[in-house]
Amino acid sequence: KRSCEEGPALVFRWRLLLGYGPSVCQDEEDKYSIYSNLLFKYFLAEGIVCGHNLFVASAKEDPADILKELPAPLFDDAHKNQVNEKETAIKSKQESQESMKIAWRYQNLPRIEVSPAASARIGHYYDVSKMVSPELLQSTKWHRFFLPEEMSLHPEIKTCNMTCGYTRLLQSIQRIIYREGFDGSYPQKKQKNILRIGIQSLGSVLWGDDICCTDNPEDIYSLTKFLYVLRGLLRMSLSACIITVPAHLIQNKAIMERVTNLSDTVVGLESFIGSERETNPLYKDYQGLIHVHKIPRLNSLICDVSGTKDLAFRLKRKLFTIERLHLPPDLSDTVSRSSKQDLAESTKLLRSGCGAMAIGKKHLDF
Amino acid sequence: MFLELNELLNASPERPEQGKLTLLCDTKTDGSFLVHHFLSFYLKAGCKVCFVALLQSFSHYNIIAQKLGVSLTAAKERGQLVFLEGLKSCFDVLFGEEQHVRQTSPLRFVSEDGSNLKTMYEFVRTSLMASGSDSWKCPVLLMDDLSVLLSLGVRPVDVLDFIHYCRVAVCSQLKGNIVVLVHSNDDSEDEANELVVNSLCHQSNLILWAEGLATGFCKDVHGQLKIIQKGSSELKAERTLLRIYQYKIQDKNVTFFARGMSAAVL
Amino acid sequence: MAELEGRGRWGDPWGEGEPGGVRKWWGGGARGRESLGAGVGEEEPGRGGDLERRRKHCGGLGGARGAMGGARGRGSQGESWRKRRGTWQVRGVGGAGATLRAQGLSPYGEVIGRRRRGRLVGSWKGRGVCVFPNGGEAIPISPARGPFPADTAECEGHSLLKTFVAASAHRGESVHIFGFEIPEEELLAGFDPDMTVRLLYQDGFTDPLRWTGEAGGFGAEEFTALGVAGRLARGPAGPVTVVLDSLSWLLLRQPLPAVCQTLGRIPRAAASAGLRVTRILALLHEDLHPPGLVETLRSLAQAVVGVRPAPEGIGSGEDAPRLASMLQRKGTGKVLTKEEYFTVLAGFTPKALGEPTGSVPRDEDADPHSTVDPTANLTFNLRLSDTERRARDGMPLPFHFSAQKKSSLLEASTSGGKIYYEPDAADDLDEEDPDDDLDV
Repeated sequence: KRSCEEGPALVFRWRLLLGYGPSVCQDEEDKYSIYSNLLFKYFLAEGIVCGHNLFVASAKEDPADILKELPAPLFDDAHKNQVNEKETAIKSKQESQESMKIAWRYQNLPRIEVSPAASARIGHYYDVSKMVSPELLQSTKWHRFFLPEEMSLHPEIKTCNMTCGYTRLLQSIQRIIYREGFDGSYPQKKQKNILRIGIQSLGSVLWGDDICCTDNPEDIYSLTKFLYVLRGLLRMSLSACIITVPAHLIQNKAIMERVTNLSDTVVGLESFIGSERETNPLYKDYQGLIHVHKIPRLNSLICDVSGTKDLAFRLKRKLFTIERLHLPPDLSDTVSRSSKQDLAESTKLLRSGCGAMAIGKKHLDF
Repeated sequence: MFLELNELLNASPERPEQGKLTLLCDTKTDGSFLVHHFLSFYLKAGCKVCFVALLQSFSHYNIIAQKLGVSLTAAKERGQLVFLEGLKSCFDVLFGEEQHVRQTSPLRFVSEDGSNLKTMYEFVRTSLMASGSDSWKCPVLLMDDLSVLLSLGVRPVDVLDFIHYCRVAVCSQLKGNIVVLVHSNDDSEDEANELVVNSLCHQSNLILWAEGLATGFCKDVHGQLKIIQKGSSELKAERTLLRIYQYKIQDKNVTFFARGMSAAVL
Repeated sequence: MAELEGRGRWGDPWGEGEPGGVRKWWGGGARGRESLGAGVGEEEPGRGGDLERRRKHCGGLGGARGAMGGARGRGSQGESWRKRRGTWQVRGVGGAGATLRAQGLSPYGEVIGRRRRGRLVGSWKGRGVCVFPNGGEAIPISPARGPFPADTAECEGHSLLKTFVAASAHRGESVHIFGFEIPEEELLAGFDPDMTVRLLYQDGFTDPLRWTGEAGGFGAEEFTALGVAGRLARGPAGPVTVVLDSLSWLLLRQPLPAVCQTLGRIPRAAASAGLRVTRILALLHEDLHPPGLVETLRSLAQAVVGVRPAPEGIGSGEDAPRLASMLQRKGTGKVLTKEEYFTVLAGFTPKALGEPTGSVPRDEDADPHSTVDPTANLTFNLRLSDTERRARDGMPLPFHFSAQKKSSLLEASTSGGKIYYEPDAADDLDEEDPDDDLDV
């Protein structure tokens, strides 16, 4: 049984690490930050499996607790998957040889892969239902940043016109990068390694920032300034960073625009929990939608664009998948107009090309 | 340097124009390919270039420039290119050890309360001033991108003051060119950014505006480019020319075509 | 010789109006009027009556224009123009007396003088005249704006400002241009050498914030009533026009109340230095300011000209047509509003291109989505020109009956048809049986 497929959102992150070097990734949190936390943990778990160093920062949960709750990897999965793929390949071949009598026009169209990353597998699979084993955790080197703790540890610190939580975090990251030799300025003693940084719920009130409570915050530039310096730090070192941001709470839209501008990858999660789409039969297979707002263009003119940006995710008991959003075939005799309408609306929303969110109804590009 | 864009703009590296302010804008897409174009264009043209790169690192620009046939390291060594790496300088200013770096850095404003960009202007001016020995053509100031300054807490008027003085020094006194990239998004309610964009629109001679397709993402058409050539008001009122092309970015080149004339559509 | 007195009298936004000065409006007197057309020329130049008539003439110019040989183009009501030494002199809005060299050009502008106690009073005198070039509102750079004509990318106001400058200089006033946006050589380019003598550029462009410490420039902090008056005093005596290029630059760097108060005090400060400020011209980029600020300035200014790009099809290919919306406060408390297309020719002479008709869309602020035209911006043509439409309408359709065919058919029907029936031998029909002919 396959336990998890890593969708493009994670794959991109992974490829960044492998091929493109340091970068900032940004997750816009879903409303109840369930799934963004999950993605956050996937990112860290991948680091454990690959033997990277970790840096976990939070203002809410103790980093040790976050690490304990990471999903357990499935190592024997690769083999299973190969078998699986063979099976599906045979199956699809058989299917394609069946001739279509009525919908004959579709005969020669290629079959659409449901999960885009299924064939080109990068990274590992995880079992959401199990926690990572303590032995594995002990073998990884990780660093912690827990804001309440830091406040009491180093009370004296210069703020550089930034919310003090951010300044502390930056200094902490910088310290570790220099101490552990991730900056690449002098040869590392051991083999080159990568530092994976995870920052949880950046911009929330617990960090001492007020952008979530008011439209006109006291220091509107704190977050963007932090991101800019962090970006510089990452570019100068062997590290990658994932940040979750409660985008739905940030009142001033301009801030999100600038935050997007300053990060390399931006992925938004829209969970159906509590939204009217939860009850919509069209989405019954999914738990939410993934909006890819920004894809990095690092060291290249072009960016790595998959065929589609209409992605949805689902969380089963053990498995978290990201799939191409598919409409279920309309088999019922009585067409419910309302749901069709809604679907049209939602697909329109999904048509977001690299951050482009536009309503296509009134435009004619070609 | 994208030859097709040169043709559209009627420009060639043999005879670069002088005293012009070019505004690059992007809305809902990434317009950085225009920056790469102008960087390689002016380096090939033999201009002295001061590149204030705020958004990406030197290696990023260098790798892409190599794909376009220009070596930034070589240009730096022969004194043609002055590269200000914003990401690095900003970090040095905030966390650097040396005191004198903090005092003299062009990005000194980051650590100060006032957001005066005078130090950055002085950096631009001194790096573009002819130093007798070199024989480069007109100086060029290139900036990527101006919106970052706003993110760093600089007030929009201070950004405009900075551009004003750069115009005086580079365009008016040294008869050089300025190319500036800004992001723009009407929906974002970012008034400070819109003020900068609108103001620069008034001052610029040429506006290149890259936009994501309104109908969404497309594999073969990456966006459209509006070329707004402002008629001068110097002698009489002149018509402003607006042309729109669609483009597709490839690995080492960008192709432009009339709207709806993409190879994938035809 | 008609001497007209300009006096600020009503709606004085800048504080107390200054004493009315004497200015020559129309130097030509009766001699200058000889070609003005029927019904005007024979009048002797007496003060009251002459001016009365002159005013009437001005008001009825739209009609009178036709009588004047050589005058072409659609004129607008209320323009005042006059031939003087072979050239047409025009009173434009805000008192810009531009001179049209070419005879017969339709001048642009409207009368701003009116008769009052036997004298014409210019109500704009010494007041701020704001020119609002419309930039951002009309810049169709946002993708959401929908289709725009190709030549409306932006509408700059500098060329219009220069026509006002040229008009002032032509009247013999010295024009002090406080330039912050454009370098001197660019601003003074295109003016006649004899006119350039009267233009004094106060250099606020090179070093307005004192960063480089160059001497002689006009700093932004110098923009106070006294500072400006001090600069004016350095120029020659006589009437002075103050030009601000642009007010936007100042307003972004100084608070609005301070700027407005300074504008109000400039004429008085200059008067104490023995100078008479006839008008203040200021350029404002409307899209850089919040609407409230723009409205405030509108309420303070004596005359406002907003510039927008004209829709396609106005003017010839060479021109850069603009649409000017003028608002002008008159001495009696009347407010004149008008819209007109214009362009600026070489030498900074304005040329009117007629008034917009009702059909011209003016929904600058309307949501473009609501009026998206699917036929616009296509790579093929879905529109019909008038000639094409006529040709199409003229095309007979296959199912249409021509008159000839119709009549021939009608003819045939009148003649009618008859059935001649000769019973056959086998035709043994039984009248009673309806099924008789069936072969059963």
